[in-house]
Amino acid sequence: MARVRGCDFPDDLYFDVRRHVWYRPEDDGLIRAGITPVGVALARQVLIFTPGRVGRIFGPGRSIATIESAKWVGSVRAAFAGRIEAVNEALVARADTVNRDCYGKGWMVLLRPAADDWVEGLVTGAAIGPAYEAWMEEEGFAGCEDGGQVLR
Amino acid sequence: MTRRLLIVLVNTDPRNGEELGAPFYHAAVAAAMDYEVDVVCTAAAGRLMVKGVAETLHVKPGDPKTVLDWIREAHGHGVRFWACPANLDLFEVREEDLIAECSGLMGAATMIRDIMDGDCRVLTY
Repeated sequence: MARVRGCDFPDDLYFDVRRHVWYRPEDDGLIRAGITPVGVALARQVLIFTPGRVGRIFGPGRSIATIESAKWVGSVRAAFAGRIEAVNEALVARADTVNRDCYGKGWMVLLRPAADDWVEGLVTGAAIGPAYEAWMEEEGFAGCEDGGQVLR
Repeated sequence: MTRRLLIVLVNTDPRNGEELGAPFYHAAVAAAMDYEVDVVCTAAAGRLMVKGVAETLHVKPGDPKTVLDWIREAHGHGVRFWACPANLDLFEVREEDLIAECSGLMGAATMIRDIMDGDCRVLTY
């Protein structure tokens, strides 16, 4: 587990640092995805989670879900092309779960990548810490509390 | 499936701050969902595209977030804003007086053509 400025990043996940999205390969070739503690911190208190429809084909950089707080909307954008296979309906019902457990019960969508090279451009393992430190420095991101749920 | 949303602000009155958040927020959400969004500001709402207006208005009294901030947030998601040519005369301003987030002028004929012939849905406020 990498911890950068109070934000936790599990070593076994793949991160799209600039889009604040994590990916976890599943046994069946699907990829589970959600937003990072940094994304949660930027969104603050998430009130609404709206995933893309199951079956939707998407390309790199396209929206796969949106999250809303009181006066703010953010798009969760994919790093690669693929298809939405399933969505977290429990998170639709209780969007604030992502504020408490963004890597667990706060997962967002299950994706089937269009190609095997979906990890291209993502960071994992020992590369996570330096990548996030560089991004936080560049963006002036203060940090997270309790592993990454609250923006200072 | 329709991918374009045209939002027409006709009855959104800058003198009533409570009316000014929803149109821009809905536009931002639609753009965040990857829909193509155009917002046309005409009649009284046309003033919102003029420099120096939206930055003085607030949806909620005392809230530091101005209407220009709402417009910029939507614009940041990819929303295109358009002013009405007739408004220039109505408010005695020039195209150079429009805010940077405004892409320019959309004539009534273009708007009507897009609504009647184009592959778009329409929301009016």
